[in-house]
Amino acid sequence: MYHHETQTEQAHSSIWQHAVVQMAIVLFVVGIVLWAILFTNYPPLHDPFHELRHALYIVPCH
Amino acid sequence: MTRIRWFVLVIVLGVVSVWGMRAQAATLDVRLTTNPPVQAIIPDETFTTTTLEVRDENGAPLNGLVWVHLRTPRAPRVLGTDFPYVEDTLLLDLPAQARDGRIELGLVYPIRGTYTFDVEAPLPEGGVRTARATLTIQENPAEVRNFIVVVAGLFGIGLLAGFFIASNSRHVVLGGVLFVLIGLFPAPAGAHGGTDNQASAENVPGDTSWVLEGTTWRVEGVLDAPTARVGEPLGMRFTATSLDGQPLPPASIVVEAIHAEDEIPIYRFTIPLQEGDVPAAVHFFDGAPHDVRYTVVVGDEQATYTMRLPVEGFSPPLWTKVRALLILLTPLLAGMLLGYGLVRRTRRRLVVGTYA
Repeated sequence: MYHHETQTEQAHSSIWQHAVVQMAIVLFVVGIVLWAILFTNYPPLHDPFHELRHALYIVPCH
Repeated sequence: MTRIRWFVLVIVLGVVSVWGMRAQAATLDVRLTTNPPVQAIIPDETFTTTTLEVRDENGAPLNGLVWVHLRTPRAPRVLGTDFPYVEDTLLLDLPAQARDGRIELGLVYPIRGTYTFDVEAPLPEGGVRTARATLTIQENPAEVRNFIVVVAGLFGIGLLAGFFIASNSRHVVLGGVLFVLIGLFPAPAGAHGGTDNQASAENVPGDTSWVLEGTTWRVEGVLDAPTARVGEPLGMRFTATSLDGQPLPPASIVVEAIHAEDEIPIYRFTIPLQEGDVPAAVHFFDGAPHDVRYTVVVGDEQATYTMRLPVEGFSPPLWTKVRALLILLTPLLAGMLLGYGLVRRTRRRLVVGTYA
């Protein structure tokens, strides 16, 4: 009985850790994409999204 | 005791002089009207004719030379603007001729917020009278709407991601992440400084001076730098000279700045000219070339000079960009936590229901 409860707790803990990692990955990837579209100075990415940047209220352009 | 008397005298004189200056400063009254109405002004878009109506202490319209200092709004605490370097800077600093109390300035207001107009009118006996008026411009409603849509979209993506993460569907999350990454590549074409506009609007250093001459006059314009920079006003100086030794007839210069890529007017104002130097400063807030047209009017004669003025833009401060990114990621995180929490709670209820 004790053995079973320990295993269940470990499984829950592992899932939670895994979920946190997944959420962090999603945040990181979306963050990278948003940064590339909205905040980078690299001209091939900066210039095409100029109008979008100016259309988004809080996003600074220059 | 004598020291104390002197001290009191100095304090009293100080208070009286400050009170006198304040009283003197309050003798002008400035009222602002705009065309289109202020509610219809969209920052960085609407060319607005702003009329300043200046009246003296008796309520009579002021006539004569005044100085206008136009300052941009302060930086918002949380939600930034399109042009962070333009916040809390001088937009225009120029002399103007008040006729029947009216001064007209044509400009595109760059950002939302409260603009401050400080007007100074010299007194005949020396000193100046000052007055202040403010004008508050609201944010572009389309930008606010777009922002709400983006926030809702990010929240929705977060909600879905939370559902999949809680369902332990790793491949779906991975697929979603790849989908988002692939979405980077088909970027829309043509925009600010894009290849289509390179030929017609290159940001190369321009001239710093020009000369226009009429039959009896000569006007020289000199810029402080060949390139304007976003974040600081560009100083300019106009020097009018009479060529026949006679006093210069009534003269003025109309300054028009046009955004070269979009061909939209940004500034239009008239500066009175007199023999000698007349300084002014103009802040070009968009980092793209502008065509600046100077039209000198002396008596019945007029002459025009147009120059291409490059404007150097800068990437916003890192903290401003990071702050905006964090604001955008917040709804994503909130959506993920909610989606994850909802699935976990539903599962727990099902498990409890099964064993009950």
